[in-house]
Amino acid sequence: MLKNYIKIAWKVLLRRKFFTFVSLFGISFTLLVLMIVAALLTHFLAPAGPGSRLDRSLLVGFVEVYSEDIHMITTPSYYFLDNHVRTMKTPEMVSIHSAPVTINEYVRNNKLELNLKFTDAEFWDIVEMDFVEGRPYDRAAVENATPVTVITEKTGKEYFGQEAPVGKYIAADGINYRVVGVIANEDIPTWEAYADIYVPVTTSKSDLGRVSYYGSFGAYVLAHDKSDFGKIKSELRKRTEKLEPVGDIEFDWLKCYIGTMTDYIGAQILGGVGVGEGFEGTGTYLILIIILGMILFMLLPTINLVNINVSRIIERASEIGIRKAFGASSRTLVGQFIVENVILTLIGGAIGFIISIAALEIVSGSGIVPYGEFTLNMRIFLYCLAICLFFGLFSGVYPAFKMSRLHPVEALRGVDL
Amino acid sequence: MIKLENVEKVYRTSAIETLALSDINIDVRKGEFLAVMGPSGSGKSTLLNIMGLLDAPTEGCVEIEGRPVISMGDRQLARLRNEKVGFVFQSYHLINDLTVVDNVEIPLLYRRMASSQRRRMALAALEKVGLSARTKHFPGQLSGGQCQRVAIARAIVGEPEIILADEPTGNLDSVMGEEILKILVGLNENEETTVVMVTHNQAMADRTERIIRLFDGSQVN
Amino acid sequence: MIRHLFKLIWNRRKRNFLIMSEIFISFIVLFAVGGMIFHGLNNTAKPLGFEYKNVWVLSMNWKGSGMEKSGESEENAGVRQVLQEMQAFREIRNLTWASSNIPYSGNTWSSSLEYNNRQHRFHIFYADDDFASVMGIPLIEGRWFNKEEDVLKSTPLVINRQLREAFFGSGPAIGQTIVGEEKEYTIIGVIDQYRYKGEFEKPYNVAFRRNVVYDTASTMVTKIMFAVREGLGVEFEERLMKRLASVVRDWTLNIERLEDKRASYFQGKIVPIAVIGIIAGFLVFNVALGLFGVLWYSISRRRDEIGVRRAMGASSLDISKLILGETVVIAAFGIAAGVFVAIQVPIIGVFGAVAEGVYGLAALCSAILILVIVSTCAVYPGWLAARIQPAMALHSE
Ligand SMILES: Nc1ncnc2c1ncn2[C@@H]1O[C@H](COP(=O)(O)OP(=O)(O)OP(=O)(O)O)[C@@H](O)[C@H]1O
Ligand SMILES: [Mg+2]
Repeated sequence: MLKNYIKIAWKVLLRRKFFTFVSLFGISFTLLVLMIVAALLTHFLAPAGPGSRLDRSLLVGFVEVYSEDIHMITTPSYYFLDNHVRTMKTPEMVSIHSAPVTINEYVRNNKLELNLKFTDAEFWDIVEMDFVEGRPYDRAAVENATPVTVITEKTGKEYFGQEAPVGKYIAADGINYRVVGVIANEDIPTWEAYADIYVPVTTSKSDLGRVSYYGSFGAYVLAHDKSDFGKIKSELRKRTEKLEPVGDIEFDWLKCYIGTMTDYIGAQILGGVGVGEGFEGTGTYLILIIILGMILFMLLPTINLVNINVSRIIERASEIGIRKAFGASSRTLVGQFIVENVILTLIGGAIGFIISIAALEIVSGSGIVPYGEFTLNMRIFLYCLAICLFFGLFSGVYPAFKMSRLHPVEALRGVDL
Repeated sequence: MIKLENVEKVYRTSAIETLALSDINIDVRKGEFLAVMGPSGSGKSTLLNIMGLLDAPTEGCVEIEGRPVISMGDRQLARLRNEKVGFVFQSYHLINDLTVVDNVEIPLLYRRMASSQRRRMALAALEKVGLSARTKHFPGQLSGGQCQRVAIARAIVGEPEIILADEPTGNLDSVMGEEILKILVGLNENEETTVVMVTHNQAMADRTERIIRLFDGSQVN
Repeated sequence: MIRHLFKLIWNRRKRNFLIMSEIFISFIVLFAVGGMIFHGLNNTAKPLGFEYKNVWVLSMNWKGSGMEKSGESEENAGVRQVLQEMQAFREIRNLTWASSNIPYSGNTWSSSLEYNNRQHRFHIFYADDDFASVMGIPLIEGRWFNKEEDVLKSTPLVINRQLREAFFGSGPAIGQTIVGEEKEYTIIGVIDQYRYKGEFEKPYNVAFRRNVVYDTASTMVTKIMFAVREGLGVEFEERLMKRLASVVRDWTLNIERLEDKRASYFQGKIVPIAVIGIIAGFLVFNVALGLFGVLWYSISRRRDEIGVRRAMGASSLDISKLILGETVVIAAFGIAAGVFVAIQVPIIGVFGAVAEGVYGLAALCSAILILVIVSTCAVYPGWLAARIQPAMALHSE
């Protein structure tokens, strides 16, 4: 039965080659865009794969202070994070890192603009990057302010060409660092962790002990389990809500914001965090906006598909009418049409799959996104295919359903759907 | 008015050649009422199509008012069809998406004319065929006979010099058929309209001035 | 004939509705993209007000940099030393220090002043006497800051034309004083524009306040901007950096060229527009293909109708016109709906107050583009329809 359906469907699709082409074009192109957007989104919004430590982590990214004269939302200082976040009881681990500092280095008459990041040793335990060579610096190195560094493959190439970087020295910001590890270019999981050179936080030129709440640092807080997020948040709130002003700026209250990476990015993109609002849930909000955008994006191809399907089915109206007059049930007719649409969608999906791979290759190669090496994620592809299948079916079922409800007479006369 | 000389029509399909008309010589004079008879498939509709400038003969010459059709361009032919010829098709050929009046107005659409006048003329034509009550209906909502009457209204609305009617009474009962014939006869007598009518009905054919009989594409007398 | 077209379209509204909604959405998509592009073009066409070529920026970071310090400090001495070293380079034509809101940096500071009972917001910059000449900002009225200001009691301000008009209309500006909450300000000069946020932003109010480096009591000096000779390469940059790094050993220094900053700013603006534009282009192309297919197919469905029309006196040109006209009218409906929605945008002010002309132009161009695309799609089907032989069309039943 099904085999028969498929055979007929194949014939029908070949008969109306142009419609088949338009449908395939629409489906594969839609899939392509969905795939690229999804790849970019996973890169930016959900960098941590499920089960990874980063996925179990929260980020302390902002402090907000408020008084009559001043309202500011800024990044916290090392002093603040070291004294009030690192000492927390509920988390499994806390890691502090600086925002990247841009430095210039001149290597063989070339100017390198590099992002330098100061981290502690725990950073490497949490971000779990892949090392192509060597290993990360450990707690002892951080404690002793040993001038050692972890660099990316790309930075290694820029400094040393084809030679292996581990063991060699690089000058960065006036200090000679010994390279101990090299990480894979594509393995930087989130732009919060992104840099070209990583060095122990203790080698920093800035004054780590300076007593102030505001600086240019952030902290990852690793939970034992994602279900602990609530507990961590409330512990942090308890610890920080009673803080008195220190150092320079007077304030009425201070709030310290903690959230998932997605929340953090949501806040960055959507902006406009109001006084005391925080950015909790902005990630979810952003994802909702994106999903809405995707649905709107799919609207046009879907209407187009419906339109073509209506044409395809009207073409067969009198045939359907005659068959009905001689006793065929609407079920078989609708079934036939649905099989046709599923076949179309699957072929379109296959084409979309191939061009997505090519397109992601191009996007990765273009260097528009630093360290953005996009690979086709099978899970995402299947999601997208499912969405397309849904729309493909929807666009086929609607006209088929309308047609099946027609009386044979109307169908014979020729109708508008 | 329309003159066919040695007209031959061959339909070529991939498999076979059909000789639909061969060696036809007819001179339709102005004001004449002509009947065309013959068994099914004998070429009556083909003949009408050629007379109505819808189709070109394979061989032979068609002249309209003394001018050979072959030399005319598409626009000129369209003009002639529009102004001189009124067609009643065997299978009505009404446009399903237009109401009855709008269907009747079609020949007038291709003339310069105020839309109110078009509407007036269309309604008058529908009145003549007794369909004033159905002007806002769509063809799909009419019976076969009613459709035929709409087709006749459409043929006469432009006051053509010649009406080519392909079995105009085929689907009508005898009373209605008589009505239609009366209309045609009336037009022929009062307004000197030339009428060529295909019919299977001998009684009707007898009331015309001349009968042309076709058999297998040839004229028989 | 038009009336006839409308009737036909209305009677086939169920089918045409789909096409209309496709056109409607396509219009909205094109309008949005067009609005974005025209908005950008409209702004980039306006003068920038300053020179970005051969202007470099030195950024300095030290322990606790960015925090205010009162009075003379070690860092002040350091900054002055750096300035001195730089002046010694013949390649550097001119230099000035700047507050951190330099062009293309994304940093903004704003402030407001009340004048004649009206509050005016503006972007505020701290600048010294050489700023205008380093940045190549021409004055259209008055003068830039100079040493004379040392003795002036009120704080001198240089504002841009837009803010001048907001404050004083067409009246005189130079020498006017504005009393602020703490200080009194005197307007000493007017510049045309200083669009430091970049070419894509619409113009805004701007004011400069004088501040000199030996008076860092209330500001933080972390940037030095300097104009260099044409055609200097990495070699000079490296030499300069080595020299400066040896003066302030434990500071982190970095040099950027305004031209590079501008290039990456442009990339950041153009890439998204290009991506959205390409996607929109594909969407519309997809719709065009679909429309073409549907029209093409509808011709074979309408053979009978076309045959009748031909028999009733329509020339083949009339038939082409019918197909084209119908398609264009359907598209016009879709566009009309789109325009209706588009009009709401400036009313709600989704994108803020943008030059109205931009919207009109975007709507007009989208409408024209759609009509062109739609007509193109209808040409071939129209030609096919015109070629239909009436006798053949009417025979098939
Ligand atoms: N377009 C065509 N292609 C091929 N053959 C055709 C075509 N049109 C007509 N014929 C053939 O030409 C012959 C004459 O057809 P025509 O329609 O003129 O017959 P008719 O006399 O009108 O018959 P009826 O009384 O059944 O209407 C038939 O044998 C028919 O099969
Ligand atoms: Mg016939």
